[in-house]
Amino acid sequence: MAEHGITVQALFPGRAIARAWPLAIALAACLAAPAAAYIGPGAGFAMATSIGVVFFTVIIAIVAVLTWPFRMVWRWIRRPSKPRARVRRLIFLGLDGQDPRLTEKWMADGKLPNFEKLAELGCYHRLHSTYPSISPVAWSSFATGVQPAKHNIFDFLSRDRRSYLPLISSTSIETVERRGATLLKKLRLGRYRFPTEKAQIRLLRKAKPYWTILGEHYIWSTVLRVPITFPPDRFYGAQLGAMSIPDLLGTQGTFVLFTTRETDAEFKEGGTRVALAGGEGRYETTIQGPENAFLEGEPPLELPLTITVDRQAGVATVELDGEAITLRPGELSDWVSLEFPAAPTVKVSALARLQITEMDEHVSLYLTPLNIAPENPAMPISHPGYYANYLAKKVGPYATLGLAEDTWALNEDVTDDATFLKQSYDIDREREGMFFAALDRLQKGSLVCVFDGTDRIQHMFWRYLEDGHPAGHGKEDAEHKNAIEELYQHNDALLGRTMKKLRKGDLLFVVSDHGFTSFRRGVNINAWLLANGYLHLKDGAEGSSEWLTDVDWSRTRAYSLGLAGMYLNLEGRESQGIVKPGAEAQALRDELVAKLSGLVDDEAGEIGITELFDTAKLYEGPYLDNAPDLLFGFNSGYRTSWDCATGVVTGPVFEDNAKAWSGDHCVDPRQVPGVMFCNYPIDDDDPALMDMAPTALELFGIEPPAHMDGKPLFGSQTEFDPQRGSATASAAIGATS
Amino acid sequence: METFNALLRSAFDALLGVLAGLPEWVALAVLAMLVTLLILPVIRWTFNHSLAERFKRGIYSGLFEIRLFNDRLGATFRGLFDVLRSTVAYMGAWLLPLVVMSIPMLPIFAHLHFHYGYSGLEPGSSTVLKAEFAADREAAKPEVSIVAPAGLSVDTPALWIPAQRELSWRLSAVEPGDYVVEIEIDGERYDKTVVVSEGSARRSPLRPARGFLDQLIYPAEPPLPAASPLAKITLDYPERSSFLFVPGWCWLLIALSIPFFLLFKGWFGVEL
Repeated sequence: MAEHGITVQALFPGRAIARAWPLAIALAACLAAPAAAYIGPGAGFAMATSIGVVFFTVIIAIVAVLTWPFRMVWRWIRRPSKPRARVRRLIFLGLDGQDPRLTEKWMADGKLPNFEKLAELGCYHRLHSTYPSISPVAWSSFATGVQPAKHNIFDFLSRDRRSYLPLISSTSIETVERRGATLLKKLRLGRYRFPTEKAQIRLLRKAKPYWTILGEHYIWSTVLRVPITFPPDRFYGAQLGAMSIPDLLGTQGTFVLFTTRETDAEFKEGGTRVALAGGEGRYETTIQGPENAFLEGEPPLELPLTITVDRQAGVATVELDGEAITLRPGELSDWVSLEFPAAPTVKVSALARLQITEMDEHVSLYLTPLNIAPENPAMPISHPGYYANYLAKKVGPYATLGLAEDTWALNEDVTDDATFLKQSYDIDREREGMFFAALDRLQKGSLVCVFDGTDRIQHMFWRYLEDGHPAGHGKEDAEHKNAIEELYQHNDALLGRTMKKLRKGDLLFVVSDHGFTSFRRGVNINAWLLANGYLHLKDGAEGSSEWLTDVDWSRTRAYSLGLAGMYLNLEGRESQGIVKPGAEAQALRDELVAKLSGLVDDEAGEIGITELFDTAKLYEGPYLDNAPDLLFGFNSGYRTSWDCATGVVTGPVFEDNAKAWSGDHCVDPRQVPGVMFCNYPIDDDDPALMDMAPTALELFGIEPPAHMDGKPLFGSQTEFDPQRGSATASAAIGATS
Repeated sequence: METFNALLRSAFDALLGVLAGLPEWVALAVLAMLVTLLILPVIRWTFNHSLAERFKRGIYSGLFEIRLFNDRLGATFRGLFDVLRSTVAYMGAWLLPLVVMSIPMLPIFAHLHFHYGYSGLEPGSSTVLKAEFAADREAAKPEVSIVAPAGLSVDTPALWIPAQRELSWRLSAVEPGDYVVEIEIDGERYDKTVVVSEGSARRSPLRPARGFLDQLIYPAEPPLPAASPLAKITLDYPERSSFLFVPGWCWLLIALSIPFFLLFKGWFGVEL
């Protein structure tokens, strides 16, 4: 072999070989021709793949470079105008629900130094929200610069005019069946059937968001988790969807509690209970996934799950999809990847987290909603389609569910405060990873990222912020009684890290879509309508069923569904409408406005509804007909009750809210403005959220379309100091990544 | 080392003897499976899966970035750089398993190479037998003689090349068989095996001295005695085809082991 491979003596003359044998072995391993080539099937495969990747990448790069001039010329030809941008990068840091009163209070106490610094360097204002002041509506106005009657989003829920049943207001999902399946649309192969068409998912938000208009001028935008972006917009840029992205079951988030506790009770909100059978410390069950569209009858997909409890060691092992996860009680697992086999070579992927909530006398396992896996999404959650996967490669697995923080599980006492906070902050950390990755890659254009933790944590922890809240029992001893203050300080640190990353020519806005207030008392408007003769029940019905199923529509003139407002049962619009459009409808509106504005909660001695808004007078736009006819302007501390929101008619008009969901913003929007910080003083003292879209366009030299209701916050003559971005970075306090 | 090699020779002779009747690719497939099963636990315990996963994610994100920002040359090059950097890092993650694997793999491959790497001498063909003296030996021609068995013939007298301290003879194969040629130097006899056959057999192109590394790389025959004046005895067997300096049988083994690797990796919890 010396003649054909290596000459050992030439390399290691004499007896030195014996002394240097460890080194010699390593070198020999690398140099002996067959062994060097054959470094094991794994390594060999990896090396071959790596070489392939490098080759492939270099080819792509060469193609990209060679075609670049042609693509630029093509773009130059197609570009409608050549706008003159006044900033290099426009960054919106969205803090959903950050409240001005709390912000101002803690800024004054010196607890939010970066907010203070940013206000000092540029400006701070309270920011008008939308009517109603809820996230889907407000962020849609942020994106489009128009009022709700022009973007068609009025609430979380809308209603089916034929059945009066609730619909998600922002997305329409039409399955192949609903469109009328034919043999041609489904191929059959043995027990499997293969749809040849996909379900059609449509975004119901109308009006172009500013990023689409910027994209028409080839100005890049990255849009991260801005509510009402499912399915995603198609534009020159990248987008990860947010609110209204469902879980794998198609719901807005359904957790599962596997438990040995015997009960017939059902969770009221967003969860299911599965009985655990077995014993001797070992329990076997299944996780139910979505329906399997590949099989006749569409049975649900299933994954076996086994829980083995070791009480002596104080741990439980959960075996799931080939993975064994050992958990202590109360410990929330990392994301676990689940793959439901649907058909040969077809798997439906999800991510979930697990927690053993108890393992003494009884054993219970909490499973978060099944998030659509970003690396292999079952639905379109990003634009371009691979962007969700790109982010997963960049920052690791992350939550994709629209309302990813499991408020329902905490509301139902399935999880505790600590679990909820961990979940929320983990999601915020994932979001921060995406935000900074996008910021790092953005050379020119806009970036917007919305952090939801602010909203969710305030919803669930407001009970510790004020005295006398019906849900505030044990407040003084609660471990997380300062959760909201800590949250604002967490946001301040995030702002500091963001400021630190600003560069020359950058403009930073920090905005919230609304503020926050207490939710002490629930108002069941349907109960009031029933008591006052506007709504009637079917003969013999009690009105306790959900979704207004007990209502006698032939005698009902008005009803409420969702959080924001109420509808007239209008003839020609609702399938069983009885109120004639025109004068009769307007008279009914006026009558309800008169009666409900200033409605007093006798038990509490407070006004429950400050004003009822007639949307015909409030809104103007092509989708006015889809809006609730009247919007609630609840007083601070009041909100649509849980029963009313789900279409339950009976019960008291006013009742205490004793749930963990104890703060809210579905009140008179004048009571819950948002916040706006900018690293440059704006030329308007009374900004509104819907001003952001025209401002973004104006900053990139594009005339805002005439239909936009918002106005640019900077005058056309305002000259920007390009150094302000760098100065902002220098001003960041205590910012470490 | 001598005992270790003797054991391995016996083991490989037994194993390859069983496979001898099979077509060579089938025998190599069986070997590929066995080697894969040997290597997978090594990878399981030495390969840093989480680190490799991180580098793989870097490769993918770089590729996605090239696609996502394809109209920005700077971003394209940055993505390209990220892919290259992550690829190098990923390959680096294989260094430890590679070094650890090389410990069992080197003797295994050395043994396999002497079974599959050379063609046998055919009757009527000739080859050169060389005996090289150690460097500390005087350059004067020693007293030598050679004894060949009936199946071989010695065609030339010993040729002495003083500069290389080397004696050489031309041998011819007469009929198939496993033979031993004896070289007598200063009254001491030194053996060298010669295989004349077309089938699979252990062929030793070199009988080494007693050095550790020599024995590691040339295990097909026992080393020369410690007192031997010789550094090695070589016999030119025709080498079989190779590609990129790697023998053909080795490429075949690589190709055959990949399906087995993909098939069995899940059993051992190995992820690439």
